[in-house]
Parts: sequence; structure tokens; C-alpha cells
Amino acid sequence: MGSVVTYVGLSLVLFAIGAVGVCIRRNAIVVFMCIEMMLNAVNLAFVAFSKLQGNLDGQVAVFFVMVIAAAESAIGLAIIIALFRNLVSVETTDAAQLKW
Amino acid sequence: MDIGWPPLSFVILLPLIGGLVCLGPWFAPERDAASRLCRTWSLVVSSLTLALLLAVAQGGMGAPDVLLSVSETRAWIPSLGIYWNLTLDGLSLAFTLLTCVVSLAVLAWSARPAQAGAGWYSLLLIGQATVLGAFLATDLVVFYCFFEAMLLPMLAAMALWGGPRRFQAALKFLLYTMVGSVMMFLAILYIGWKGLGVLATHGAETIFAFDVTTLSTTKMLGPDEQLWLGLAFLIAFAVKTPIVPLHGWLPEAYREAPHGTAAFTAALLGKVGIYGIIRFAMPLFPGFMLEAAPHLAALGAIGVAYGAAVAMAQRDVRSLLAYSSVSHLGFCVLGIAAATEMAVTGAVFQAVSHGLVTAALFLVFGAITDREGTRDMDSLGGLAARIPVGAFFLMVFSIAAVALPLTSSFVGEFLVIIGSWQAFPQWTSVALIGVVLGAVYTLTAYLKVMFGPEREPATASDADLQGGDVLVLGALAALVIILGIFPQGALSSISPAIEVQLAQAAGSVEDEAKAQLRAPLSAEVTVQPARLESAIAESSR
Amino acid sequence: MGSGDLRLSLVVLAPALGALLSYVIGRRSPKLSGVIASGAVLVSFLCSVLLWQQVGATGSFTATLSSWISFGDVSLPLQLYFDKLSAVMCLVVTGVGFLIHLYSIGYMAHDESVARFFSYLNLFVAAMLVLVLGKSLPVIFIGWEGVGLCSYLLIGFWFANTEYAKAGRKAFVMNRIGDVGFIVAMAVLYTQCGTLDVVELGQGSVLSKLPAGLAFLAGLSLFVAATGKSAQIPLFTWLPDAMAGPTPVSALIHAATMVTAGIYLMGRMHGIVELDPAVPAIIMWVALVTSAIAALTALAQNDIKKVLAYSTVSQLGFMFLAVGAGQYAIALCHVVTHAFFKACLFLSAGSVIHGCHHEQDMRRMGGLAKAMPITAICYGVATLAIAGICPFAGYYSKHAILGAISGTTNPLLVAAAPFIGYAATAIAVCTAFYMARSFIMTFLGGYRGEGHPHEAPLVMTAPVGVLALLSVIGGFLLVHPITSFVTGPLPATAGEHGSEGFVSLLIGSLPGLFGIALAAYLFLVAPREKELLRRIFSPVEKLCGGKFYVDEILQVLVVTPCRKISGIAFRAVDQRIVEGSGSALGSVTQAVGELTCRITTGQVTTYVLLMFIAAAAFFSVFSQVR
Repeated sequence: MGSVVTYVGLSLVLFAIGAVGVCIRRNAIVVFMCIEMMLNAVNLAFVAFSKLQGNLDGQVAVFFVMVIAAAESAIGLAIIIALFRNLVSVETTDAAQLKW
Repeated sequence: MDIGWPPLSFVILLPLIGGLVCLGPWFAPERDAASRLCRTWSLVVSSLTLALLLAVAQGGMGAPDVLLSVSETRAWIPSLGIYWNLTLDGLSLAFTLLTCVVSLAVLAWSARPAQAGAGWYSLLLIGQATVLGAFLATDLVVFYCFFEAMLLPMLAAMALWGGPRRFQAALKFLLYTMVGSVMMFLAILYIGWKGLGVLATHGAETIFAFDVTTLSTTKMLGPDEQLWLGLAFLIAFAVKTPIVPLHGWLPEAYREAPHGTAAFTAALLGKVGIYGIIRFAMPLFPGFMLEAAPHLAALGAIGVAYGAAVAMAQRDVRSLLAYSSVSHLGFCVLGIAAATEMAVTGAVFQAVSHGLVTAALFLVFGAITDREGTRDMDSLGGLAARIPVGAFFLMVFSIAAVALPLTSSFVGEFLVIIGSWQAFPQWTSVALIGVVLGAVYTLTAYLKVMFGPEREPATASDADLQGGDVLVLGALAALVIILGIFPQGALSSISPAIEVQLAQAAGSVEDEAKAQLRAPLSAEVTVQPARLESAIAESSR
Repeated sequence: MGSGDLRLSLVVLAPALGALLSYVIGRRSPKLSGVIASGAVLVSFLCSVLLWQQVGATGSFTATLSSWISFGDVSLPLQLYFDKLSAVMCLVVTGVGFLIHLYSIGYMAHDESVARFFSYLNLFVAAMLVLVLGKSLPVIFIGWEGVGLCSYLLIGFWFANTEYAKAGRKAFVMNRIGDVGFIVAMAVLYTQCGTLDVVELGQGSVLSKLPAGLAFLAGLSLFVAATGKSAQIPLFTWLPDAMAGPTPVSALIHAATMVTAGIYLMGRMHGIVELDPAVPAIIMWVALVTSAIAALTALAQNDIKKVLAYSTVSQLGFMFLAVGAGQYAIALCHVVTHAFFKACLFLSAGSVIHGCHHEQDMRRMGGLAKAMPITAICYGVATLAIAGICPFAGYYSKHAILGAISGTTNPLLVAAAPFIGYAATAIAVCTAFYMARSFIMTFLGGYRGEGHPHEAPLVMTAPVGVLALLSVIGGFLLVHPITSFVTGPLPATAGEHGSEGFVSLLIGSLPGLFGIALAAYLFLVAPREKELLRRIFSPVEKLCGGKFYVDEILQVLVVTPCRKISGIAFRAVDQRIVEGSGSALGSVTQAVGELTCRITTGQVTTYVLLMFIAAAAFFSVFSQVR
């Protein structure tokens, strides 16, 4: 049982690192990596709970997340490239046109 | 009455479709030709609507001692108890006829904003359709939709072709009415939600959860609910009417709108407030209306005197008409507050009469001020000799505005005053101040514009009112005078409907007193949520 | 009463139709306009005569024109009612009205808008007939407002002159204040008695439904209405200003007919006026003060029409004295005789103004008896009549009023009756004096004006002559016996006033004779003493010449405060508070919007942070719900 707590704890720590990273880092690629880290933290939690419950539901969900993450990274990287083409920078603070 | 097609829906749809058709030529390249075509088209559509309405009323009248009542029902969102319910009775007939007549007059009037073109006719026809809808709907949701929708064409016309401060005026108008109507919308939702629950226990096949006639028979609202919900309704209607001190939007809106829009707004939009109080607030919240009556009477009477006093200080013709409207509609409010058959019938008659007179005054003053290039009464003068026809009509409608006997306004004011004296002699006396001041500002305006030495003509043309416009004003003047000499037909069509509304209100008050003695009604209300929860529990198992 | 219906309707409809025709046809051919208008009034007069002969002492005719305001249990039909009382008023209105119409053909011959003039004049007659024939108070109110409107239109007939137009407006507004009294009376009576029918309101069983306080209110409101129309304090200042209208208008509306509407209303509703004795007492005092002020003001006027206008106010006060004393028949008698001699005076004055090329100042007249002898004779006869000299019409009615005052039985007035009687006699002396003064200044002595005055044409002198004749014999027609001509509808007069010996006739004429003699002495024989007297009484003269500053007092007490309140209501209340709160609503919305805009920085990190905070808040709230 203790092992589940450890896994979930690790997942929580990973998620928090990812969240903080998204919030405070300005480089779009780092932000992107942090998002990936959050996704993987969730995956870890899924697998841990799946083991605890004794069924495969969580592990199935992980596959979905991984597929989504793959798709997301494809689109995300494309966006970052497009951003760089327009602004000659991948700093998120430079892409600040979306305001009133 | 079963004639195979829904006549009342057609009354609304005819001008609506007619208006939408006009939207096309609005963007047409040949603007002048298109706009001429649209003028003819809109006149035909509007006349047909009037004819159709008269035919429906004629058909519904039936035997002479049978109440006029044509209704139609059509499912809209039946799962929520929302139905497309329309009713034409004596009360709505008075207001719908007014709507058709005023729309026709405004459409036929030759002067219109220079840049307007086909869009002018489109917006007016759509406006007519929405106002007609508001006067015919008995389902609260349907009514609310029309109540909101009728703002849009008027706001658009004001913002497109208005005066220099048109955006401020339109925004203010919108904000004022939205504050009122959003509160009313929440109240409607609450009533419908509660109605859905109460009516479900009655075991009826179709549940008209938002229909005012059905709801008023359930007497489901307790005193506290009536207070808050009634207040929400009343504020919405008070802004629209407008009742002092919620008239802040009105002077600027009337100043900035084009003549036709101002005439339409002044003559019709405000009447929806009056109509709404009688049709919805009185039967739904009888106890609250009874409690609010002294305050409402006070506001009405103060409105009469205050509007007249402020009107005296005006130099702009439009502002004068705006405040005189506040003053005249105060009588309607006073009459409604008195809640006697005589007073409320008088209030309705006064509202209709004010619609005709005000529309005509806006048009005549509009023609004069356009011609002279100023709306400042102090820089006008001596026009009586140069435009005798205009002077004649202005005199006729000024007399009607002062409510001299044998004009329709007199019948309305007289019935309101005599009918209200029983209930509120003190407030009726306050309103009488307005009667004197009304003569002062109306005659002063006439004197400043028409009398005095002739001035150097501001425009080279010496043109008086011409053919079609004379016809429009002549028809309105004839209506005002015919209603003044032979009001009995209109009155005996309005008063039975009023009697029904008052009986609903009075019946509800009595039953309420009895119900409070027996047991609280609240037990029935909880049925619906309880059933929902058990269903959820079942499915999860 | 079938035949009565049609003729009775015709009495009103003929001038109403005439108003339309005289304008429509008169626009093409102005000459026809006056003929049509006069013809219409003549038809009305003849119908009235026919009806009058048939109606009998207590009979009546009723005609229903429309069911008007009738629905549910409300029934206020548009009905006309012809009894002895309306008969007398009808005959005066149409009879005198016809003569004045004839006169106007000559007087207005050179005016541009003659068609408009005759149309208004006919409309006035129609409205006045509705007033006197109305069977219920709302119907009377139709006429009441109708005559007010026509009066407004005719005072401002020459509207290019702003002052004239303003005089018209003043008349209308002051009448409107009186109308509020009328409306209040209708509201009280309908609420309490359930009817507004004048016949039913005369019945004791209906009147007994009025509680004491409301009876006073109803009576007083009716009197307020009467003060507006009949120019009593405080609503009398419009009448002198009303002289801005063409002179025939002043004769018909502002002397002979419309201004007597208040007296008629008091007579018609005497049951209500008498219910509370305080009401006649108030009427009596108001009438006395009005009459005195107007008579004194007339002493110092130099405009011939102004003299006659103030004299009218004063004579109306006399009529109200009779009303206050409860002698309505006598009041009505004075209405009739006054209509004759005052119309005659005004029309003669009109001939003078016409003959002197629109000069109205008597200081620039004089010696006109030579140039216009017929007018002079007529004016002289009417002066004797208004002064109350024995065989002339005014004597009978005036003398009867003085008798009525002393005979009053009102408990609130008995003690003061002798004083009121003396005061009224003094006013009678005053009346004789200023009328004689105006006659002397206008017709005797040497001509002080410019140009050559000329006599009026026959179409003008003939009606004046007829009126002068009526001023001579009018008294006999009515007074033998004075009480009988309206005994049906009105309470019988106590005492005999018609059959007295020669000596008492002479004594009765004494106030008038004294006034005339004094004027003749001062103006013809001893101008030096006149100057001396003027110097002694110069403050009084100033007060009289200034019309007792009633206009100025009203200006300060009523008009200016009204304007001020109106300005404050607009600028302080409406523009600041009401429109301000509207703008505040807008600015608050805008401020809130601008505040929330700050969150939208455009920085992705801010948005993400917000998202996390929101998610955390969401989960923490929902975890607590569970």
C-alpha cells in the first residue's frame, strides 16, 4: 500500500514542477516540455491507481493520454515554429497580442 | 374559432417577413429605385396587417354579447412548458390596432433620414412585428422575447440615422431597459420553474408553465415571492413606460432619434409597459399590486406634475414632447394603480390616445423643424401665416394633448381622474396640477412656434405640408376626434377585458386570504426535485 | 318629445355646421362667410324661440346625440336638455350672438382672414349652446372648454402680434385653473352621488348622499370653476387682457355670453352650491371685493375697451352677489339685461374704434356725437341702462340685486348684509360715474384726435340700435313679473321687486343719477375742481390706474415661482439626478469592464496561473460539498 502513496506522491511532485514551470518559464519550448511533464505525472497516477484497483482501466486511459500527447506535441511544435517565424523569438512574453 | 390557419401568428409574421424582404434591397446597388419600391411594399404589407387584424377581430367578435377572444396555441419547448400562446382580446386589440395605425402613419410619412433608404422600411416593419408580438403573447417567455426584440430595430435606426449624440442615447436606452428586463427574465424563470412543479401535480396533459392565464389560476406565489417577483416585473415595465424617476433614458433617446423612430418609440414602446402591468403584473401578483398601489399612484401623479413642470423649462421641441409624454403617461399609471374598472379602462384609452397624439406631434414638429433647420423654439416663430395647414394640424393635436373634450385624450383623462378619485383623491389632486401646467407648456410651444411676427424664412422654400402627409395627419386627427365623440365602441370592447383582468386579480387576493388560513402551499412545490433524485438513484444502481 | 329632439339638436348643430361651411366657402368668397355664419346663428335662434314657446314653466326637452362615454355600468351620454333656464340662456346667446354676427360683417369687412373669424365665432356659439344645454356635467364641460378654446383663438386672432397671442394664452391658462375646480367637482359628485346628470343632481335624495365636508368641497370647486370663466378674484386679470381680440369678440364672448357661464353654472347646480352655507358666503365676499376693485380700476382707465372690460368684471361681481344671496333668478335677470347693454356698449365702442381708425384711447377722442350720432345715442342709452336709471333695463336687475342682498337668509351673511348692501350701492354710484365719464370723454367736448371720424355703415349701426332698444325695454320684458321667467328650474324669488310706486322708482335710480351727475359736473362744468380732486386722490388714482397691481402680485406669487420650480425640476433634479443616475449606470458598467480588462494581460503565464487557481478553487469547493 505504501508504494501507491509513493507513486502518487511522485506524480504530484512531477505535476507541481510542471505547473510551476508552465507558469514561470518564458521559453515556449520549456513551457511545452513542462506540459509534457504534467501529462506524464497524470499517467503515472493512472498506472498507480490501476495497480491498486486491480484492473486495466487506468492503463487504457494512459494510452489515450499518450496518443493525445503525441498529437499535441506535433501541433505544439508547429505552433512554436510559426511563432518563431513571426516574432523571431520563442519567448511567451513577446507573443502578447491577445489582450484588450 | 377554427379557420384552419393560425391568424394571430400571421399578424406577427406578415410585417416580419415583409421587413426581412426589405433587407435585401438595402444592400442593392440601385438605392433610390430600391427604396421607392420598398416604400410601396412596406405600405402594402402594413395595410394588409391592419386589414388582417381587423378581420381577425371581426371574426372573433361573434355574437354581440360574447367577449372578444381569439387565441392560438402551438408547442414551442413543451418539455419546459413553453408554448407559443397568443391571445387577442379587447385589451390587446386596442394596443395592436394602435400599433398598426401608428406604423402605417410613420411608414407613409414622407420625411425620413436622408441616408436611410430601404433599411428604414425594413426596420420599421420588423419593429411593428415585434411590438405586435409583445401585445399578443400570453406566454411569459414568448412575451419576453418580443419585449427584448422590439428594442433592436429602434436602437439600430437610432444608431444609424440619429443625431450627433446618437450612440450615447442608444447605449443609455439599452442599458436602462436591460437592467429592468434582465430582472424580469430571472423572475420569469423562477415563476416558470415553480409553475412547472405546481402544474405537474394537477395532472394536466399539456403544462403551460409560463402562460399568464394558467399561472394566475394556480395562486402559487406567496406574499414574499410576490414582492420580489412583482418588483422585478414592475421595474422592467416602469423603465419602458417610463414611470418617474426611471425616465432617464427618454429625453436623450427622443432628442437623438430620427422623427419616425421617435414617433414610433414614443407612441408604441412605452405602451408595452402599460400593457404589461395590466396583462401580467396584475393577475400574477395581485397581493403585491394591491400593496404597491398607493406608491404606484403617487409615482403616477408625481409623474404627471413633474413631467409637466420640467416640460415648461424646455426649449428643444423634442425634449418638450419627451417630458410631456412622461406627464401624460403618468395618468395611465395613476389609473392602473386605482384598479377600478373605470380607471383602468380610462388608462388604456389614454394610452391609445396618447399614442396617436404623440406620434402625430412628433411628425408635425419634425416637418416644421426640418423645414426651419432648428429645433430651438426660441428661434422659431411666426409660422402660422406661412404654413397654415401645418398650423391647423399642430393646433388640433395640441388641443388633443391638452385633453379638451371631444378629443380622445379627454375621455381617457376624464375616466382616469373620476375613477381614481375614489381610491386616491390626494394623488389625483396632485395630477390635476399637471392639467394646468399641460395647458401652459403646450400653448407656450404653439405660441413660440406659430405666433408672433413673421421671421426671415430660414429656408428658401415656402412649402406647407403636402398631399400624402396631409392625408396621414388628417387620418390621425380624424381618429382622435372620432374616438373623442364616439368612444363607446372602443370602451365597451376594452372594459370587459379589463373586467376579466381585475376579476382575476381580485379572485386571487380572496383565495390567497383563504389559503393562508388553511395550509401553506409549499408542500406541492418540492415534488419535482424529489422525483429527479429518485430517478438518478435508480439509474446508478 | 320627438319634434323637440330634432330642433334641439339643430340649435347646436346649425352653428357647428356653420363654422365648417363659413370657413370652407369663405376661403373662396370671403363675403359669403359672414352671411353663412349669421344665417346659422339665426336658424339656431329661431329653433330656440320655437322650443321656448313650447317648453312651459316646468317642462323640458331632451335630445340624445350619442351615448358617448358609456360602457359597463358607466353611462355618460351626450344629451341636450332644454328647460326654462337653458331657454333664457339660449335666447340670449343666439339672439345677441346673431346681432353681433351681423355687426361683424361690417366690422371685419376689410380683414384678410374673415373666413377664419366667422368660423371661430360660429364655433363659439355652438360651444356656448352646448354649455347651456348640456344635460350632464361632462357635456357642460364640453361647452365649457369649447368656449375657452374659441376665446383663446379669438383673443389671439391677430396672432402676428405676440402680445395678443400671449393674452390669449393667459386667458386659456387662467380658465384652465378654474377648470380644475370643475373636474374636482365632477370627481367628488360622481364618487359620492354616482351620477353627473344635472337633473338628478338637483334631487334631494341624490344630494343627501354628499357628506358635509365633501358638499363644501363640491360647492367651492364649482365656484372656483365659475371664477375662472366669469372673471372673479383671483382669476379675473385675463378678461381686461382679452380685449386684444376684435371688438365684436369682446362684445359677444367677453361681455355678453361666455363670462356669464359661471353664473349659469351656479344657477344650474344651485342645489349643491347651497348645501353648505359657507359657500354662498364665500361667493358673496369674493363677488363684493371683485366688483369693488374692478369698479375702482375702471375709474382710471383711458382705453375705452378697458373701461368696458373692468365694468364687465364689476357687473359679473354684481351677478355673483345675487348668487351669494341665493337669488339665482335675479342673477340670471342681470345676465340678460347686462348682455343687452354691455353688448350695445361694446359694439358702439367698436363703431367708435372703427370710425376713429383703430384709436382706442379716449384722450384722443371727444366730440364724436356730431360725427356719429346714432352710435352716440346708443352708447348713451346703454350707459343709462348700466347706471341703473329707472325705466332702462339695468335698473330692474340691479335694484333687484340690492334687494336680494338685504333679504338674504344665509346665517353667515345676515349680520354683514347691510354693509354689503351699502358697499354694493357705492359700487353702483361708481359704475354710473365711470360710464358717464367714458361717454363724456368720447362723445362730448371737442375732437382731440387726428383724421376724420365717420359713422359706421348700416350693417353695424342696425344691430347696435336693436341692442339699444333692448336695453330700454329689456327690463319690462323680463321683469313683469321678474320671478316668473325661470321659476321652474330655479328657486322662487322672495318678495316683489317689479311693481313699485313712482317715488321708490326714483329712489332706486338715485345711485345712478348721482354718479352721472357727479361725472357731468366734474368733466363738463368744473374741470378745475376735477384737477384738484385728482391731486388729492393721486395715490388712489395711481392704485386704480395700476389695476391694484393684481397682475404684478400674481406674477410674483404664482408665475415666477412656477417658472423657478420648473427650472429647478429640470436643471437640478432631472439633468443632475435622473439623467445623472443614468450616466452613472453607464460609467459603473464601464468602470467594472475596465477593471476586469486588467486581468487580460496577453501573457500566457497569467492565463495559466488563473486557470490553475480557478481549478483549485473549483475542486476545493466541490470536495466540501461531498
